[in-house]
Parts: sequence; C-alpha cells; structure tokens
Amino acid sequence: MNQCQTMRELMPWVVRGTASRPEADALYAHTAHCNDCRRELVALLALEKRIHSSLQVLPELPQGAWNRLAGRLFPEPESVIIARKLVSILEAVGLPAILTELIASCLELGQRRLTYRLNPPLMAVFEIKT
Amino acid sequence: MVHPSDTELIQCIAAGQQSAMHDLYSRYARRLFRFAVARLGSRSAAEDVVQETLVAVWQSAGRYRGTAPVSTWLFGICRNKVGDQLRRRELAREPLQLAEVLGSAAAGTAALEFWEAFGQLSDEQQELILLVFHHGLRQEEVAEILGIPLGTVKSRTYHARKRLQTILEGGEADEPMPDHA
Repeated sequence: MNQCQTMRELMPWVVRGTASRPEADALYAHTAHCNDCRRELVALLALEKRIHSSLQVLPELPQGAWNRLAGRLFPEPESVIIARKLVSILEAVGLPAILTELIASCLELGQRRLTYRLNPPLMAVFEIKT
Repeated sequence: MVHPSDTELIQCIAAGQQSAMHDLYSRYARRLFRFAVARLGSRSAAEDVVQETLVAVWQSAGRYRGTAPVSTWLFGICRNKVGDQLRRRELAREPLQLAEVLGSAAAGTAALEFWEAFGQLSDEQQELILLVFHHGLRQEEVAEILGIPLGTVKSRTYHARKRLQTILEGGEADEPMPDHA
C-alpha cells in the first residue's frame, strides 16, 4: 500500500483526536508536502462536521427509560406490593390524609426499605415480610 | 468509591449492587441509545435495545474479564442486540421510521439528506461511521466490537466514508461493500 493510502485510512482517527501521537504526527508531516492528501483531509473535516451536526437531530433517550429498565431489572418484592395495597386500604377507610401521605411518601422515597419503616406490630398485622 | 471506574462499576454490578447499575446507565445509556436509534430509525426499538443490552450486563457482569474496555464490551453487546432487532424486523417486514424519529420540521434539509445517504450504506458501513465519527472510538476498540482485524477496520472505514461522501455529493452510489461481520 502506498503512503498516501496509509495516511488516508488514518485520517478519521486523527480528525476525531483518537489516533496515537506518532500517527497524527506522521499524517501532518505527510500532508505538509502532499496536496492531494491535504485536500482529502479538508474534505474529511467537512464530512465529520456534517456527521456531527446531523447526529444532533437524533432524539434523546425517552423520559422514564430508567424506571422502565429498573422495573425489569429489579422487580418489586412482594412486601412492597402488599404495602402499596395497604396504603389504598388506609385511604379507603378514611385514615387521616396526612398519615396516608406519609406512608405514600415512604413508598416513593425508599420502596425497598418501607418494611423497615413500619413498626413491627403493624407489619405483623398485615403479614409484611422483611 | 467517590467516582468508581467503569471496571469497578461492573464488579459492583456483578455483586448485585443496584446503585452501580444506575451509575452505569447514567454513563452509557444515552450513547447506546443514539447508536441504536441511528441504526434502527425507531425510538421504541432503540429503547428496547438499550434495555436488552443493560439486562444482559446485569445478568452477565460476573463474566466480564476486563480484557477490553467496558465501553467496548457494552457497544459489542448493543451491536448484537441491534442485529437481532434488524433480523426480527426483516422477518416482520416493518419499514424504517427514520422520518418519524428525526421529525422533519426540526431536522433540516441537510440532516435529512445525510440520513438518506446514511441509509444507503451497508450495515457494517453504518456501524463504522457511527463508532468512529460519532462515538470517537479508537481503532482497536472498533476492531474488538466488530470482530475484525485492525487493518480491516481502517480500510473498511475508508471505503465507508468515501461512499458516504460520494452519495452526499450526488454521485452514483456503488453497491455497498458486503458485510463480513
């Protein structure tokens, strides 16, 4: 392979700054005296810029993606599912709203630690396992 | 650990530490999603791929040997999941939804022209353009992800970007180089 082709194949990594220092130095030394490769490098810089700007229009990861993944990776333990039902029962029987809000907040903030926040007699009544 | 390395995160994930999984997600999910959505042209399919990639990481973190950087390992898994999606899509004959993904109003003509040209590249050429130019991966990392020798990475990347340039300049696009991966 001639030197020009070797240099042209290196160009993408030099342009992106991911080539080694000796590789980058070799390319710059080569383009200092090779007009064809210098033109090629300029064209590649323009392409790189276009690729970069075109990728900007791609959408971002949708909202809630982590929660969906976490739901798949770490399914809720049975105790938390029961505790959620408990909150809705307490609301239905008319427990003061401030208490149900408190329990619901516990659920939101520390789902997996909820069972430790409820006192043991209450856990026993509702058969919540730790 | 104040700011654990990628490898340390994988070790914590292997030990079942959920917060480490969240940290890994924060570092890589966006990059993996952009790779997947560019290849698949569908938000929902790309999110599925990111999920499947990270589920695979959660299940197999204990088998990570550290011979390649974590980013290379993740992109390798993600690339395989994209391949699975494309094969399923071919079976179901679903059309690409790139126009819907890009949103023609926001994208602009230049970007739409780019994505049309990008779509004419072979699978491997698309992967090379994304991994080298967008994600800025080194030659050795690309070789590891695609499972091809270093010299082949360089020559195929050269052909991929020449073909992309030719299409963008309105030239006749030759047939894509066959995929060898």
